[in-house]
Amino acid sequence: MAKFLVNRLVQGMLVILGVTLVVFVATRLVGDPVQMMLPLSASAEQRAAFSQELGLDQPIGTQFLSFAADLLRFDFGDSLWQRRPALDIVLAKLPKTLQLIAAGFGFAVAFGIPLGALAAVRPDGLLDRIIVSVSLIGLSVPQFWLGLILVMVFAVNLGLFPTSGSGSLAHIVLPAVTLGIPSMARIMMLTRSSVIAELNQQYVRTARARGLPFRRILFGHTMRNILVPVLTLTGWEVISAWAGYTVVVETVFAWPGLGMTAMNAINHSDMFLLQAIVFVVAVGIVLVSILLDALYKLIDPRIDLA
Amino acid sequence: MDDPAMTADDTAPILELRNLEVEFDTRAGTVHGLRGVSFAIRRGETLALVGESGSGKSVTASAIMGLIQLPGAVTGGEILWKGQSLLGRAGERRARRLRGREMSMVFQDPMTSLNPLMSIGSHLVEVQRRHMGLSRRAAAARGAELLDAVGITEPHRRMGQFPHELSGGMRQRVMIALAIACEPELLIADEPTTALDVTIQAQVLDLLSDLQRDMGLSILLITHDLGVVAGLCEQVAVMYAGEIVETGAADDIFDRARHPYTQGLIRSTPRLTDRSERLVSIDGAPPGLLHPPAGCAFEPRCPQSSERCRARPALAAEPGRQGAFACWNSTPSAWPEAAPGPKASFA
Repeated sequence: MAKFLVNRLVQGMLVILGVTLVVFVATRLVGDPVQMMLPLSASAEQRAAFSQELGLDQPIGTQFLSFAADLLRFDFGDSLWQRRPALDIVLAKLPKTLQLIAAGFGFAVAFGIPLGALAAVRPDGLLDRIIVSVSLIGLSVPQFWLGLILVMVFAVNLGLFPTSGSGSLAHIVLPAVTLGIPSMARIMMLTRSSVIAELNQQYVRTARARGLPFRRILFGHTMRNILVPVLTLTGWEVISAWAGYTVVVETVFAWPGLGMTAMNAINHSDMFLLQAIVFVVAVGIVLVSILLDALYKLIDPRIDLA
Repeated sequence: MDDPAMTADDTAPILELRNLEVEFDTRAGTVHGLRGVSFAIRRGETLALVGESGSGKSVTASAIMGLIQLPGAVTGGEILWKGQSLLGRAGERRARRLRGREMSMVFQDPMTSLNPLMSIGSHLVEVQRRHMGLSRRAAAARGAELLDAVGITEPHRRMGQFPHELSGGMRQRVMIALAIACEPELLIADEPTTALDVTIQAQVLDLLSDLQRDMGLSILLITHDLGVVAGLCEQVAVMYAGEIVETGAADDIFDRARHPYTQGLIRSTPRLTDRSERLVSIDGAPPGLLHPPAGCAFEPRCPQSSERCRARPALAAEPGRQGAFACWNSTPSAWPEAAPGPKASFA
């Protein structure tokens, strides 16, 4: 296990280094911060001075070296837009996004796995058809639209939840559900098909021959066996939410997390802030994938990590 | 302890099948899996159910264990456990209580019969807690004893191991330990040695034979291998195309089989002493059970079929001999003598 962790951490650092390199190049293609930050009336001297202050007058190689040196000290520079250290902003916004993901995936897993198992008990039965149809709708609906519909129904018409913002527990419900629904539908579909396949395994037959009740076989034997594929999918869903869908959902609901900050950073051509965000996201992805592998080993003794 | 039903009559069968019929609804039509199967097993008796693939042996076992699932269903006949039906609503409730406790089953493929994510110990603890109400600790202690009883070395270490860490032979021993954990009266063994190496096969059969003697177990052994039957079983029932064509004591069947199919089976069993080059076989194939023949199912392959074979022969006892067979034209030997071919080399 220790050897595995060291290996994966070294690999993870290489991944993060690669990502930061790409981001370094990409942020310099997004737009010219000098033009964005200074008013149109700024003189050429002012522009040159600003450019020099940011180090943008240096050759790109030199810029990368100083960028990499700063990176080792976790110094991402000051946000151009807010005029304070970029990493501070990111770390201040981080808990909000983590809350949103925890709530969204708590919801997705808490409903997706049981509903999938329920549907699988009687394939093509009435309950199965209802669950599958509803989840197909959940799969096909884009999140920005789904979010707006939920706001219209539950916030505007029924007045159950606030329309946007954060602060109370009620604020998180709609964004979390919006973030979670497509993942819930996919987790449900995979759970369903996995359970159906698993119930046809020989070990299920022998368990029945030993007189174990169906409930015990389903929960005690089958569910554990489908956990590895379901976990793989859930991990992937968490990563794609973390590195993408939270931007949409946070923007729709004005949820003050990393996603909305990323949106603002792009709008302001705030390359230093953007670099810090992407760095933190990359670290998160590496950590999630290491966690997943460790969980696999915990679930399935046949998996060899070394 | 002293259940009157258990001591009342040792000659009464503990399991009896009467004219059992099982059908499978398929897209192509109804497949008649069992077409009236009758036999009985008494306490401590070992019955071999013999036949080729598709003859309905495993379907019979599944039906007894209540494991027939849609699209299959028991459509006729009776399964009696100590005289009480296991079919119908009340019968199925009774069967649920019996399964794993009074009757248990060992399957053909030990490689897939254990839950890959559960330790050997968890399997053993689970079934004992369920059926015997033992505490976790007591079940674990007894589990190790059971492993020891089925000839697994280092039982305490094995309890913590997972199925993939054990060989096929060991896994089959674990399956047997699981099957006898709750001290059943009947053990159904469905081709228990087919997936194992020959040397391991003999060990597993010896184990079953020991258990049968020590525990007074009744065994229903399902096999296509007459060699397996000879060592272990007193009684034999031969299946063909979803019905039983001959029953009798094992010795009688081997020496004086009366049904041409049984005779053909015995004749086609390779022997080490018989060094002919060719293996003898029965030409043709069993009839499809989608449209089973109205008459004798073996008639198309039979060397001495006649007009009478258009009608289905019933399983009838022979005077002066224990056992029964279903044939109109039975003779001591229906098949021509196998021509003594050139000697085969086993070198």
